[in-house]
Amino acid sequence: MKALFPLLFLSLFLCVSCSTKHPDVPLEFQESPLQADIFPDYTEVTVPANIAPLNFMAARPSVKACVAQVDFEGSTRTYGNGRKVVFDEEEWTDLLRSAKGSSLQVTFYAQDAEGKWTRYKPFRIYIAADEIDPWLSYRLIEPSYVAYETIDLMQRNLTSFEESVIRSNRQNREQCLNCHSYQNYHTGNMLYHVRGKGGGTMLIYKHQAQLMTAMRREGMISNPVYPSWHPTLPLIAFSTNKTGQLFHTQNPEKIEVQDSQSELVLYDVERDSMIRIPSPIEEFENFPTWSPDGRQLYYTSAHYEKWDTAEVLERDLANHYQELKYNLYVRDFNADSLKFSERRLVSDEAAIGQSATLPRVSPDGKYLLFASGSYGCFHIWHPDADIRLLNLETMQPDSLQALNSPRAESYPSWSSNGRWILMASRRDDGNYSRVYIAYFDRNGHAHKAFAVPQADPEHDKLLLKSYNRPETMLEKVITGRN
Amino acid sequence: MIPSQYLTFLKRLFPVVCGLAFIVLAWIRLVVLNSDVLFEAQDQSFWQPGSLYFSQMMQEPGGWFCWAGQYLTQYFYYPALGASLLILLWLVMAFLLMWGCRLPWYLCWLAFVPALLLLWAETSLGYWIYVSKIPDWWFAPTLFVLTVSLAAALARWCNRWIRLVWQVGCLLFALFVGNGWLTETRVPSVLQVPFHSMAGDDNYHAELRMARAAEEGRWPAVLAEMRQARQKPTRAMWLLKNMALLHEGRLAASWLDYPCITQMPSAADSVPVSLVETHGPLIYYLQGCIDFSYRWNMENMVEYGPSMKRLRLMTRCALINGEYDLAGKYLTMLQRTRFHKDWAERQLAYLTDTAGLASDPQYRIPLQLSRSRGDMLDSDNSRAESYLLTAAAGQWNIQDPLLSELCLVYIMQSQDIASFWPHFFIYAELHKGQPMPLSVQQAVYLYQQLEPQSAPAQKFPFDESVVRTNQQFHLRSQQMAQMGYSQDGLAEGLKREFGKTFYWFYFFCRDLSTY
Repeated sequence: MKALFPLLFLSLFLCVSCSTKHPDVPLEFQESPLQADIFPDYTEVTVPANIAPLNFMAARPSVKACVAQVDFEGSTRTYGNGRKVVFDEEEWTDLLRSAKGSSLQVTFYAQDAEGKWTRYKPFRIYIAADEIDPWLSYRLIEPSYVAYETIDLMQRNLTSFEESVIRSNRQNREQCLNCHSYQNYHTGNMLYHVRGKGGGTMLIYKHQAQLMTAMRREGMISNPVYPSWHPTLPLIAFSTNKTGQLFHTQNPEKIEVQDSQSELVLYDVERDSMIRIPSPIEEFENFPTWSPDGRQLYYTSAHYEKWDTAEVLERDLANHYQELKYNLYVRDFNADSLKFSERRLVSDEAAIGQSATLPRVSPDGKYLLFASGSYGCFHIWHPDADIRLLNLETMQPDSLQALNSPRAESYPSWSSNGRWILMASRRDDGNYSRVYIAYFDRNGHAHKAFAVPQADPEHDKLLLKSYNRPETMLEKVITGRN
Repeated sequence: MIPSQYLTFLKRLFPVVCGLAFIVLAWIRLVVLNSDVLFEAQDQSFWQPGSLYFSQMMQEPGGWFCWAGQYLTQYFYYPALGASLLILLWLVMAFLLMWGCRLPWYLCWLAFVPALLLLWAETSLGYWIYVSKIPDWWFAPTLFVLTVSLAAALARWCNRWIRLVWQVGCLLFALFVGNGWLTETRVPSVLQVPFHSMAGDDNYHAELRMARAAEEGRWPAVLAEMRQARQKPTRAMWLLKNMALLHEGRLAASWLDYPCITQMPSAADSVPVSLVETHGPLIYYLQGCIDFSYRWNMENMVEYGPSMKRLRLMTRCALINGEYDLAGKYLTMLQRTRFHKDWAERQLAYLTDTAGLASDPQYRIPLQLSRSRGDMLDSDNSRAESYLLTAAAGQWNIQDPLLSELCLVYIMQSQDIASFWPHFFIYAELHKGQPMPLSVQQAVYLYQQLEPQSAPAQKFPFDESVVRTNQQFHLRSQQMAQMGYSQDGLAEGLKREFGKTFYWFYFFCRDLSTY
């Protein structure tokens, strides 16, 4: 008799679970010609076949319940739990495997406060034949200005909802963690900076970690900042920066982060040697990135000469902050001599009233992604900032309208197969960065971006942190005591 | 020798008397003396239902206590309700100790010692309430000690020596091991309690009440607190008073009607008190410095955690800045709270009703002032009042009468004669046809005397009292100086008759420390 109770409970649980997972499609409803208003917006997106379930919810709070009917090749499944649509992970995985190269049709039903159902215009979710790297890393940090408290470097399995900490500063909150970077999507060689007392650059080379505390060499402006691993050699290009920030008194942009000096250096991991890449002092060189063959180093640079010679440097920059614009440059690299050629202009962004930052070359070497705004170098705070593309073969620009939004997009990066573009986007609310992914097909066209899915679709609405520096990896970072 | 029946009665009565005495003491300490503090405690806290918030709490050791502590802190929205919950938990704790440790009746008062320590600690927080990184301070230690008490009580049925060892071990755990473990994390323990008392600091309580009234737009209440101040007020009180006058449309007319000699906040221990961490974000908001208000709310949220108050202010800033999706995010979170849901739902309308926002008294003036200010890149270097004073002098191209009034008063406060004249003319132009406030006339009259070379040549039609008061002020000052009065003596002696004039302010309110 006693054994019956657990069985009864289990049966009840299963029944409840089952009925919750696959609700019935409402029999009575009114038709709406409008697109479903869902959050995140997964309508008409193209996703990799190995992505975690695209759980979503009704965007309007007035919706009390919803049902999503998913059709593929004659089979139909329904999902819905209150205002949320949460897919079963196994069913989703099977579905996407079957639908690879094809698409799912999703019909969305929403119930209002009076109990009336509305059926919205069906939308499609396209399943690309190309998969995405299984791991994504990012820093979770508030979109604040000076203060920081808890900073976590996280890694997330894009094929599931597994998320774990690579490194956190919870043991020492005076330390700031930043600028995580991998060599060619592999985690055996990677680094991140640890700023503050007892900090340095945590360099993991051939899976061995070492805290480098003397990276700043004589004559350098600062400790090394923005990193870029050479794709094959034990070399890392860094920028060094003198960075300051000032606050808008009356502008929703809120803050302007500026460099008053910046230049590039090359670090030899095995020799622990630092080589300055010579450039004139009036050039603010920044954001180095290697071509996939390692023969070229792309970067941005702004030419600065004082607008008002009577002013101090920082005040002059602050008074003319909208006039400082970064262009795209490239230098050839000789791996034997470790020397760089003179720079060549790749794109004169200033001439078209734009400023480029954070360039990234596609794994096939054909395209250059970068963040572009009207001025400056810290575009995540510029609502007009977008991700743009330059075809390096034809030198044709592409505004990537399909993946951009009216709000700030920044920090573009590529998946290892070059088929997926990732970025930090503030399209949801203008202040909190979320990771968005867009398909980049073989014809060089970008598709509509979609948000990295969460187990609870309301997660990103409630999270008071930004996702910073999204980078994919081919394998998980193995963390240990050291 | 006490008769046995009386002894039995006494044995039963004594614990009850101890309990009742404790309830009365706790009630007085919490509700009668510290209602405003309890309300602020819940305003500085934050709790959300659901797995995301729970998992965030559970990332820290002691997270369960913090999660539960934050949940219960919400009930301080009604101070008597939250205090009742807290007292109930303490009574349970005391009962467990009494019962579990088998305390004899004459020692039952010992069971109330942990509760007394907690009561004193929690009502001695002082200015730490603004900068505490442990907002669950109010309930988490109680829950922890209650848990340890329960563990100790489980040994009740053991033999005497095992019970003694177990219970002493629990005590040591609570005091030392638990303290060391928990202090590394988030839950404070009784050993860390600051044993000073803020009971005598009227300004601390006045600031709390003034800030709450200011946020709710109850300007007469703000001014009443300032009038009733028994000590020299703090700068925060001074600024909140100015905001009340600004919102009542009589800043220039009445800013000197209140005590202007101020003092630093009375922080009994090492807690650093700065305006940007206490009332600065609200003061910035009320005068339309929306970006700076948002910035400090965000910085404080990062440093000290999200709170109901910060989310409300950030919502207001986002609405005024036209960042409706951002405001919606914060409102979604506030809608999920127990006691701020109604406020959030009232603001929801403003996500689409911009005209309604502009006419709402709580938004009208900050919105008006924010639109009047120009944009530039700047920094307050974490000193709110100093920034406001210098920024006023640097504010040009003023088209809004209210902004001109605010800037002029700041310039008068900073006694910056060079900046006064251009801003005076802007003010006069924008207030043509209106009576010139006496304090402004007094400043004009005085500055013409002090620096005639920099004053405009034109003659102004001063109110007769302006001239007369000036003459009397000078005469009295000279008489008292000849009688040997010191500077402080002069200030005190002239205060009664001239304390509300700009003359007195100029000569005796100098070098006021801000923070």
